[in-house]
Amino acid sequence: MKIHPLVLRRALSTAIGLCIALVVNYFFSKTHSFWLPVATVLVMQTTVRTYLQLALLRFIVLIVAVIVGSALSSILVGWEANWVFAFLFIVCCYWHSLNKINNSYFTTPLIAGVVFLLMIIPSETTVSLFMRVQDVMIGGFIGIMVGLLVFPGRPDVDFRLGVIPIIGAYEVYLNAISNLLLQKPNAEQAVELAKYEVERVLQTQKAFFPDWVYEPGFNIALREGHRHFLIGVEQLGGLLFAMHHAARYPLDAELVEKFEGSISLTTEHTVQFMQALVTILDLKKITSPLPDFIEDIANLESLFRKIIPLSPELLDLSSHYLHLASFIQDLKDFQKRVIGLAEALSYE
Amino acid sequence: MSSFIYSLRLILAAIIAFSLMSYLQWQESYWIIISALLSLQLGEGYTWQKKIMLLVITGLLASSFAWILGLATGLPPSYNWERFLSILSGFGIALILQTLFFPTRQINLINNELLNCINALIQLNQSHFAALIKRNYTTNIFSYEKLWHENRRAALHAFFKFRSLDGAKRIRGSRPLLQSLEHTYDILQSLNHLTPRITDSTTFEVAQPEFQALLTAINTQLEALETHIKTPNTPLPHNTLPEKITQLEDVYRSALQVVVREPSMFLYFINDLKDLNRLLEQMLNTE
Repeated sequence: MKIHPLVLRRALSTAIGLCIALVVNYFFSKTHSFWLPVATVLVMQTTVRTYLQLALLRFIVLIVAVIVGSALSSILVGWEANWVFAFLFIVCCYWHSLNKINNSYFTTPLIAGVVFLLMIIPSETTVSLFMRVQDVMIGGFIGIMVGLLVFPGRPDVDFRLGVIPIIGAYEVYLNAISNLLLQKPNAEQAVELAKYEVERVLQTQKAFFPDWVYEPGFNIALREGHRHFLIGVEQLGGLLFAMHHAARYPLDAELVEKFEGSISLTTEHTVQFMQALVTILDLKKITSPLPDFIEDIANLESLFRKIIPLSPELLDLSSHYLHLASFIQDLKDFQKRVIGLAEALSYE
Repeated sequence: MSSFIYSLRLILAAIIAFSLMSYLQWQESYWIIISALLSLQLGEGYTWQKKIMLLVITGLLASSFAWILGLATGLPPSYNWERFLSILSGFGIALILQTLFFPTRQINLINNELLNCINALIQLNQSHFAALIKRNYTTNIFSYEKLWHENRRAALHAFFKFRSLDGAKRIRGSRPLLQSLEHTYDILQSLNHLTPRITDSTTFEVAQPEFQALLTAINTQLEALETHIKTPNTPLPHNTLPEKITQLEDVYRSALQVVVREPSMFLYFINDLKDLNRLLEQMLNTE
């Protein structure tokens, strides 16, 4: 099983934070309960973007929830308090469930929910508010400091690690789409599988799509470049989906035969260029020379104009030609975007 | 609806767990509610058999682990025993509720995911036509791309979640519809390329009423599909999309073909609209 470096770093950082919290809890805790380590763990469950900002927000939510919970447990007695906590927990869970797409499992409502759930534990009803808040503050402080000092966030590295699989999946998808257009055997199944993989890598929960660069508060120095790059990556995806649509149209076999060589070559060269992009993102050196694919697309367009001499602006143009022309236009734009991304990398 | 069932199941689990806690009055009985609520979250989208198996195995493992931990830490045997039984009871509650709610939940889950997909497509369509109508693409490319990203993410997430659902005959039956929805998404992506490809965005002004009409017509068709999934016997509304496409074609012939620097882009746009119309009609007739 391959563990993603981001997951490993986070797991190690949390484990170290928890160990420190447990030691501090043993020697200095006021309640000698679980509040200190729990606060450390909950504060550390942030996204990559701005650790300090998010950790502080969680810290505040945690303290507010503890104060509210403690106040309720002192006002209400016995089972009344438990029912109220259960109700609050359900409300928090529902609030959490509304936030369906989030790359952080512990959202702020869920943190409050966990605090209310912990309030139900019988031994907790006798602990004073002051002691509890003190423990939470120490725990939260440990969480924030460990998060900042032990394996701190590396937005640039995490960004590259998030983008590489996307470009890899695009390569396969582009090849599969090209095969579908050229009516190669088993192309439909291959394109479905490739599309599924693209859908997967563009997820934040099942994969590591780095859309945290869009979040407010993300590192000012990196923000502009990273956002520009990710928008470019997303536009590439949009073009691939559009090409998939054009490739679904069953083109005339004769037409396919005429364009087969040219489209295959352009696709092959584009894929090679994308592989070079991955190599650069992976901080490795490019060993083989890059193909001149701008010439490919010019050849493809001139071939199109030779075979279809009519003006492409005519509305009564056959659907076969229109779909093929649309595919070529998408491929051309795709190449432009890939070059744009390469240029963005060269500036860095 | 799905969120309602989810909440109802959660509330029922909490009520049963609390009632059991108050009846048993054990020292460690709070584990009933913790294990019941946590185990309810297990195996989302699994088949009934897999879900039950997962709950039984996890319940046994969790309670045994707690028992061993209790022994190792020197917890009094009565407390340890109470904790063991509390965790098992929590899993038992989750097991009963999963069994009771499963059929409704599963069908709702499938419909809910399909509805999520359609909703996301409506949002995508709206944001794309908003760029054509308000011509706000060039004024703030980032905010447009950010909005497009949000809608795209919602659509892909819905598709991915639906594909990840496991088993159940109903899902297999819904696969062609999902594929058609994915195709609709591809066409919307293709339509979206008109905005950045036209260098002079003021030319969009020529076809403002047509764009507005197309937006309404496409969304009406998508909403009709949504209604059809919720209540299958609802009569279909009149499809105005072909007329609206013809109107845009007329504008293309009379003005756009001459005014726009890149007329072929409009031609591809119209061709995509025709494909979209065919696909939507096909989906509505099959469903």
